[in-house]
Amino acid sequence: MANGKHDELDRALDAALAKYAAEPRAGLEERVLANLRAETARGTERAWWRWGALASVAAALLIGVGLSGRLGNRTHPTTHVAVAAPATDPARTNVATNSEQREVGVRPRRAVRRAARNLRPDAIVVAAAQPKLDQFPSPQPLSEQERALARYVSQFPQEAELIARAQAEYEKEIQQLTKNANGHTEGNDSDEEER
Amino acid sequence: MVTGEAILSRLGTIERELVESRNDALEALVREHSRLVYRVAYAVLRSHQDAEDATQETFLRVLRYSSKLAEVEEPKTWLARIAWRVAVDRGKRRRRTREVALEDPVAEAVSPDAPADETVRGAELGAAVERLIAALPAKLREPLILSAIEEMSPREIAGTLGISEAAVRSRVFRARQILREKLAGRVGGSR
Repeated sequence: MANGKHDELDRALDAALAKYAAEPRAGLEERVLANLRAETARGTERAWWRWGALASVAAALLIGVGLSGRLGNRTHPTTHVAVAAPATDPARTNVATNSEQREVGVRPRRAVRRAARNLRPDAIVVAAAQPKLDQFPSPQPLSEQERALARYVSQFPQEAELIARAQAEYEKEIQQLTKNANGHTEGNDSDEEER
Repeated sequence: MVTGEAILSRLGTIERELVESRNDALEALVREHSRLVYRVAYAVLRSHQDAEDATQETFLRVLRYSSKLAEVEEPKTWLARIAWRVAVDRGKRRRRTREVALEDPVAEAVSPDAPADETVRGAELGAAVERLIAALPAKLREPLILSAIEEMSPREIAGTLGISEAAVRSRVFRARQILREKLAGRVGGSR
């Protein structure tokens, strides 16, 4: 009797426990595999994206290092920041003419910050960093007239010498006349003072 | 003389072969053990949808460690352990969101007002036993519900739960004894 009851309870327990072990719907393996394949593909895409980003960062670093190396070779590296005056007219905002620009040197970062505080962001024009020149004014290419003069001197050196001499004498005469005129004027002034 | 291009090509081939072999190993695991993973998850979650989601999550975790698959000594137990953890975590999250907690399941299951014959022999017997199981302490309930999965030996249950095989046997025995006593007391009392 007791055994029968024991068996009955065991059966009830086993039946209840059997409900904890359910069978999956058909095709579970395929669904899992499909999900894994999709995840693998996503992972590959992510890997490519990561490599691309890394390559871009590396390229940017290389460019940065190259530029800083070049700038480091210059003798007086200063940054010139051209700041446009505050503009109320939107048409004027994007055009920063030379007369509107003032240069801020020596401490470029502070100058940029100050300018940014005072002006609207679109009114700020920051020129590319330029080194201070060793020679002032900087050597310029010859103008059309200068080139023509040089050609003439090389072709007719004697005539050019004569012209140059005549020019020099003419300048001397002019200077003498100017001196005389000044002396005469000063003399008149002293006469007037005596009176 | 071996050129750099040849070395790169050879490395590429080796990497492809490695990836392919890992994929093959993973596919073999899925084909062999996905049913077990599902059943472990279902034992915890008691919902087909949640168990399937837990199965997917389990194999995604395996994918992350696919490079170490060759080092796994007992893949079946290893997978069951991952599935168990995933399911337990999901169960916790589900409880937090749905808040489906049983209020004193033992009292509800063997209510003195309910007729004993109907409780034990009737359609409500299964539900009553389930409530009793849910009311068991976790350290007894966990090995008991895993023992319901026929594919799992006491040794594998021990590996899944991180306890000894002897502890599994004694806890399952103890859990069944408690359940039997609760049901028998109620049945005997009513007769």
